[in-house]
Amino acid sequence: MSEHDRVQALLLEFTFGALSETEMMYVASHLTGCDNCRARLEEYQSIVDALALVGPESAPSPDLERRLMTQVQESIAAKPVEPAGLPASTPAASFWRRAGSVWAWASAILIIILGLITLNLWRQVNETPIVESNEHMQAIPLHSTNNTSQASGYILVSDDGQRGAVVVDDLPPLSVDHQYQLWLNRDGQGTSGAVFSVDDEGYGLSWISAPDSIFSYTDAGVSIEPVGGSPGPTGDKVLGCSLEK
Amino acid sequence: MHFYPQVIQLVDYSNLNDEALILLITRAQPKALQELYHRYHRLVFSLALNLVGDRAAAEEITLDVFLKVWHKVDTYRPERAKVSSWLTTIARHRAIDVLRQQRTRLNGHRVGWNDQLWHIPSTRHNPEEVTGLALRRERIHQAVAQLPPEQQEALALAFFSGYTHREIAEKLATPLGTIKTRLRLALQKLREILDDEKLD
Repeated sequence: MSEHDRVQALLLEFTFGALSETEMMYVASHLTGCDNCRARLEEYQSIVDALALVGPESAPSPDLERRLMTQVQESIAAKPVEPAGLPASTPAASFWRRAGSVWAWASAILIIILGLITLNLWRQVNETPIVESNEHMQAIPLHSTNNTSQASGYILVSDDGQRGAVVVDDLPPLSVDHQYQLWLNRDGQGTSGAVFSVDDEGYGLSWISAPDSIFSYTDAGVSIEPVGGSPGPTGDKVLGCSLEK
Repeated sequence: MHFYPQVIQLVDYSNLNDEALILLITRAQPKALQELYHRYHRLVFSLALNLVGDRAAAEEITLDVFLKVWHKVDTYRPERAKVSSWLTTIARHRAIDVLRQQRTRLNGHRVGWNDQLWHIPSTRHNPEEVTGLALRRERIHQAVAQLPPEQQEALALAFFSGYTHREIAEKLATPLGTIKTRLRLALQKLREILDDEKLD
């Protein structure tokens, strides 16, 4: 019997947590490299998750939250810098480490976006050519090139121009063979910065990849291009902004 | 990330999705853990209570679950499970550990599907949330009720007590292969029922 067959035979018990620790590790190790077993596990897991809702719902005593947060604060005091260590040996650790720099920056972007929304600053940002979200980041509004469109967006750029993201709203969803493409323009030349799609509500978010500092370009635009993007802009420009300070 | 601490003060954590909260927990943000606790403490506690049948033990399990999230957030694999699934998996494994340690399952708390009550206490303030959760619970209840009794029995022993297939086979004096088939069929049937209802 192959390892795959053995794991398949153990998957149900793995889902229920009924295996020994050694067996759990054996299955978990196989899962990292087997799409087929992962898909089967997800099927089982979704049902077991649903079963977790079985039975009456109860609440713990209110004191439990205080106990939890007290212990958390104590752990912060004991290890002020890294509460969540990344041991080198685990696959999970390598996942987070691999993703670390991207995620760290992504989280900052996310937080800024959510912070803007939360504080109802979105409208204020919209009315300002270039807004200093804080001393290390700028949110540059993208404006619709069509007066009848409600589409809008932002280019979020780190202060050194090395990292950025584009977030758009109310852009029409496109057919499957087209995507939006962000162009960073300089000296009459357009450099592709991102290719992205939007959801049913016209919302889309993508990181910007550019060979030079984003601030080295004079302006940016978003156009409709064939899926995967074009070497140069070919479609109608739907959003645009100046990148000059 | 010099701007991070300043900006983070602006965030309404209740607007963040679960994955964002996990990300912030990796960045040592206790408020993110607190928000996660607010979202899922009832689910985790209820599951633990259903399994171990003791409020004090269930509270300890709930505490363990969220402390594990704080200390071992790096073990979360976003590509493998939703955050809520991760939490319930930790809770169930921890509860089964407790059951095994206490040997409760041999002569103490024993739960089956018929032991479960089907009501939602009025502890939630959002009527839509109450209604949505109640409907989902009811759907799952009905789905389990549609299973043949022998599949319900095997499923209860696997889910509530964490018995291995071999232990279930011994307990029910039934061939091991039959138990495996019953459990597999039970999960397949539940999936079909719940998928059908989603389509409806």
